[in-house]
Parts: sequence; structure tokens; C-alpha cells
Amino acid sequence: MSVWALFSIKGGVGKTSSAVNLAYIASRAGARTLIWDLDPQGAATFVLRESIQGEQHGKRIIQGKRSVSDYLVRTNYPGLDLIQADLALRYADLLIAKGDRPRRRLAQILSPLRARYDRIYLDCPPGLTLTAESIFRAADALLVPTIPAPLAIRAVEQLVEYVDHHPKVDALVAPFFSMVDNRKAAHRQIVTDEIAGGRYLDASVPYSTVVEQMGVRRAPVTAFTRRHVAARAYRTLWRAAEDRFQALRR
Amino acid sequence: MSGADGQSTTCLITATDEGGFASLCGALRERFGLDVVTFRERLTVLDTFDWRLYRAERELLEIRGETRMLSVGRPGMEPEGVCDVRALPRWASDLPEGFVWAELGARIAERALLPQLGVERRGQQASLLSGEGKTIAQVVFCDTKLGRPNWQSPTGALRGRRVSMGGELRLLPVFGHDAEFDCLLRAVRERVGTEPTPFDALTHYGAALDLAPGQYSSKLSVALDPMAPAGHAFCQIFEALVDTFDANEGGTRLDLDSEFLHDYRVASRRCRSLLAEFDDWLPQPESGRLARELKWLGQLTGPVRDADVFALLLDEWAADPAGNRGFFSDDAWAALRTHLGREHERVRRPLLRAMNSRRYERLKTLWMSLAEPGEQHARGNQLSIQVLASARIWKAFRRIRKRAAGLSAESPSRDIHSVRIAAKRLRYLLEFFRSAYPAQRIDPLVSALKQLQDQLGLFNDLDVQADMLRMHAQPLYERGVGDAELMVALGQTIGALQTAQRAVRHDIAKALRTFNDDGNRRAYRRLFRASKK
Repeated sequence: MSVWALFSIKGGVGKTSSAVNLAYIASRAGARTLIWDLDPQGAATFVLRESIQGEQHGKRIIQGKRSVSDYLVRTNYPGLDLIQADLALRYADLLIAKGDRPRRRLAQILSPLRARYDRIYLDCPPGLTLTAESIFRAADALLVPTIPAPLAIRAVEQLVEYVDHHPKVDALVAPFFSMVDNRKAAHRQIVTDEIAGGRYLDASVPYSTVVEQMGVRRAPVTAFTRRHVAARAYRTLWRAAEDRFQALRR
Repeated sequence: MSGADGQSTTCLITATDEGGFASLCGALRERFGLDVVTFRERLTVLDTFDWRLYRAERELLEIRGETRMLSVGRPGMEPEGVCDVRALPRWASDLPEGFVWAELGARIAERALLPQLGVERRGQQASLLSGEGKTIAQVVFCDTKLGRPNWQSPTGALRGRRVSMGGELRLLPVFGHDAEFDCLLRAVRERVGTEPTPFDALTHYGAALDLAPGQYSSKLSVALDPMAPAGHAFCQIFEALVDTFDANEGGTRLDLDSEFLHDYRVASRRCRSLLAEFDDWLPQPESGRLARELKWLGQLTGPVRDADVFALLLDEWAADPAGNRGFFSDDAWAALRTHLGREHERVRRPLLRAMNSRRYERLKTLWMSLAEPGEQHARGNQLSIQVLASARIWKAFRRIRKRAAGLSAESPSRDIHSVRIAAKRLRYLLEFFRSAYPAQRIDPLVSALKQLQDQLGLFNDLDVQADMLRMHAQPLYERGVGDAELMVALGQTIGALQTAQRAVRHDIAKALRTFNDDGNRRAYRRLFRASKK
């Protein structure tokens, strides 16, 4: 089993769309998959046609009063389960900080699920917070959607430096380009150069209204269209991430 | 409706008509959002010939509708895993990655997945929706037809006539929404007026197609009356063996997987062993003739089985790059596999010709005739089976002890093989007549013998593997298929096998000490020597 966190210091970069699509693709590839919506905005929950839960839900999980297994729900897609977002996530940092070893908290919470799922995707809130540190400790891989812009690339470098300097964080950092506007020469150049550098996954997700349609149709892109360039991009992204992860494992 | 692991039970089923379905949908619309679509799908249940998945309480389905996917889970439960596919999986290696698929693959092992049951459905599917538009349960009304798929068809196309099951109503819960499913059930009881029952495809549809899931077993299972005449017991055993032989004939002809030929050969070898052990009690000249014909068949199946075993061995080595596979470069490995594939085809041709011959048909007729009770078994009927069997088993046991006397880890290979052959003869006898003895007394003896045979078998396997490599090295060299690199790799592998065999020798010596201990000897004496009186 492996835990994949869709994380970015910045917001609005395509974390949720990537998390939902990668989780769906994983489930259709045969993996028993769970997606946990850790963002109080609850976008992944909304797309997967569930409602954001009240505050007791997340609080109980973080405080250990209920097992996370009690909150699993099946989505519309066989093989893909969800833990819904809830309002308590607004102050997740405070809840986590109150417990023992807060940076290990998420890994402890996920531990009973390891036998049940092949892949767990975490749709993470933005920002470098205590919750984020807990996510880093729990994750086997950090997938970092990045807009092809200099400041966004700098943010990735900061994240990589942070991870490198924390011996207890073992996760693979795998950034990829998201919301790529292929009409812009600057985007094209940055994507080509950075992928050639080897750090970024050789798969990028284009900016597309079809991806925005997820919020209207309330379904993963790859569930309502197989042939669109965005659907193909997500499948390529999933394959590239899996290959890199397996190569690292070897 | 929840199972012990928190998974909802899937699929209840009942019979109804369109009016019943419409009335039900009307009731459900009062409480839920309802999305009704027409659908058409084909379901194929996949399992091995010997029902390994069914026995493990697993159900593997291919579902072809708008998409094509595989689904695996417990029968009657929600799927544990799904996967998009482009073709029916045939082997464990065709399954996707993931824990639930790896578990399935381990159960399937070397057997082929065969399409065992085909279901064609068309009708309407009503999804009950939550306030967010999520499906929280489904009810499906459909017209269902069943058929037996063609095993050789890559799509599992159905052959022969279809069996109609009429209008079915299936109720499908969704994990985490038990309350909604209970509501659906109540509506069915009120509007349709029936009590749905749990459903899984094989149990529900199998009877309509005379499918007997789980019934085939390669193990010999004969219920003997210990006091019955021996001739009668021989008939029962011959019948059980020819049934197994027949059951595997089709798969052997088509080469669906290597286990068909294996079970086919085992049935034949068991029969030869019975004929040899009780030659003086069986009808003559029929028994002698059958023994000779089975020997003829064995000479044809032997090389094919050798090629199968070698292929399985290479598969095993391929899965462990740090082991023997590491001696071969990719080119050398490819050359070896190509050569083996051609060899397999070459040795299969004479077997297939033989199986299409009149001589083969006469062999089967002769075998079946020996399974017929009657005057021909007059000699065998002079003694009860338990008296006759006990004498032979006791003799076979003493034969092992005699051959094993003085055997050590340093003994020559031929002496170890001699013990192995004696152990096999004893094992066949115990298998034939097991049911004629109390289970609590004979089962431990069979287990102890099996432990010895496992070590002897491993020793023999390593010998056979080394011999196979030597056997194939020559033609590879002569035909110029293998270069020096391949020859070196073969030599290194033979060396590794010999090293492994040296370690097994010590395990054999230890297993023999256990087999020959006083406790085992007393158990055999009490069970088999006492009956001689």
C-alpha cells in the first residue's frame, strides 16, 4: 500500500482535480483506492457527490475517538472510496498540535487502512503548516502540481529543500506541471526545460475547460471522457508517477 | 445487510415483471432521486477448471456493457477490486497489480482462467440518488439469458442454446448506505410482493446450466466398504480414475493449461499402479492389455509433460532474477524459451495423433469395461478389500524400510530414487483404499508419508531439472541456436541445481528417520498387519 499526497504550498494549482482523477484512474487499474479530502473547502467531496461533514467527524478522527474506518464511504465508482471533508479541518493544526507526536498523527490514523487499500490519495490543503508536516511523514510520495511560472517553480524548490533537510520525511517528491497553457511560449519553454532537468514528471496536465467541467458534472474527467486531451494527460500522469515510484522502490 | 468486514452484501434477487418494476420505481421516487436508464451487458464468470476461485469463496467476473471491466470479490458481496480490461485474462500474469489481484493470482497459480458461465442481460437500471446526486443503491430489472462459453474463445462467446431466466429484479446496495438499502427492501416487499434472496451468479445460475462448481477434484475420492469384495472395490477405483481421465481429456487436447495433462497422466499412472499391484486378482487378459496400452500412452504424454514442467520451471526462474535466471543474458534466455516452445509443439503432435486414433478409443473402452462389476471380477471377489489392501500396504511399507535401511545423506542417487519409487507405490495404495480405514488412524500415516515424499520429490525434481538442461543443450548447440554464452549459462545453472540437491540429501535423511521411527512402524503394524489375521 502507498500513500500519495497531492500537495502544494500554493492554492488553486490543480490539486483536487489531480487527486480525484488519479484516484479514479488507480481504481480502474485494479487498485483498491481511497481518497481523503483533507481540504476544508471540500472540493473533492463535492466532485464525488458527497456532502461536507460537520465538525465532529474530523475532530473525532484526529483525536482518536473514532477510527477513520468508520467514515469510509463508497463513491459512485467501484473500487474507489472516500473520506469526506469536514469543517473541523479548518483548525486541523490546533487539533493535531494537542496530541502526542503531532507530526506522526496522520501516519497513525492511516495505519489501520494499510491492509485495506492499495493506494490512498490525500487531497491536501495548501500551505506549509503542522498539518502539512504530518502529511509529509505519512506520505510515501508528494505529488506537487505546479503552474509553469518562475515563482511556482521556486516554491517547489523550497519544498524539496525542506524535505531534504528533514531526515524523518521519506517521501518521494514528484512535481508535475498543471494548468499548462500551450498557447503561451513561456509555459512551453518552462515545461520542456524543467522536465528535461529530471525532477519533474514527464507528464503535464493542460489548462482545459473539460477539467473545470468536473465541478459541473461532479465526476472525474476520465469518467466522462476517455479521449479528451485532459483525460489522456491524467492517465499519462498516473503512469509516470507510478513508474517513478516503482523505480525508487527498486 | 452488512458482512462481517463492514462490506455490504450485494445483490438480492427476485422474479418480477415490468409492472412490478414500474410500481416499485413509483414508490422509490417518493423518497429518493431516481435515475433510470436502459442497459445491456454481458457477464462472464471466470474460474479455473478445478474451481480454485469458487473454493476460495471468490468470484471473478468480466462485465461488458458501456465499458469492459473485471470485478473480483466474494460471491454475493460488493466487489473488492475492479479494473478496466481489453481482453479476458487467461493467466495470473494477465491480472492487474494490487493486493486483491495478487491474492487471486496466487490461487490461480499455473492454471488457466476459463470462461465458465455467460450471462446476457438487458433491461432497466434504476439508481437511487442522495441529495448530492450520488448513487446509494441500485435496482435492476432485466431479462436474463444464460449460456456456456466456448473455452477457446478470447471473448468468452457463448456456444449452444441459451437458457432464459425470465424477468429478474436485482437489488444492489452501496457500502455505507445500509439504511437506504433497507428502505429499498421494504418497498420491494410491499410493491412487488416477494421476499428477495441472496444472489451470486454461480449458485443461482449454475443449476440451470448443469454446472457443478467445485465438483471436480484431482484427488481420488472413492467411498469403499471395507468388508465389500475386492473386485467390487476395484470397479469403483477404475471408474473414479477413468472419470478423471475423461474430465481432463478435452483440456489436454486443447492444451488449455499444463494441469490438464498432469491430472490426465496421474489418473493413467494410478491405474497402471493398480493394475501392477493387483495383477493376480484382476481379470485377465484385459488387465494386462490395459497396462500395456497405458504404457504406450505414457510414452507419448511423458515428453509433453517434461516440456510443460520445464516451461513452468523457466517461469519460476524468470520471477526470481537473483536466482538461476541471473545466469542467462536476455538473448540467451530468449533463445532458450523459443527453443522450448518449438520442442513443446514437436512432442505434442504425436500425442494428438494418438488421441485421435482407434487404438486410443479401444484403450478407453477397455478401461471402462474393467469398471463394470460382474463375473470378470470373480477372482478379486474372493477376499474383502480390506484384507487384500492391508496385505499389500504392509508389504509396500516394509519395502520402503528395506530400501531405506542404511540410507544416508551420502548415498548414491539411485538408492534415493529407489526409496522414492517405493514411497510412491505405498502412497497410491493408501490413496486407493483410504476410505476403507478409520480416518483418524490412516490420515496421520498419509501425512507422514507425504512429508517424506516432499523431500524425495524435491531431490528428484532437481535431478530432472539438471537432466532437462543437459538434454536441451545438445540440440541447441547442434542447431546453432545457442552461442557460447548460453552454454555457459546452462552449465552454471546445472551446477547450482547440484549444489541445491546436496542440501536436500540431509533433509531426506532426517525425513526417513522420522518415517522409520517406532511410532510410525507401530501405527502401520496395528492398522495393516492386524487385518491380515
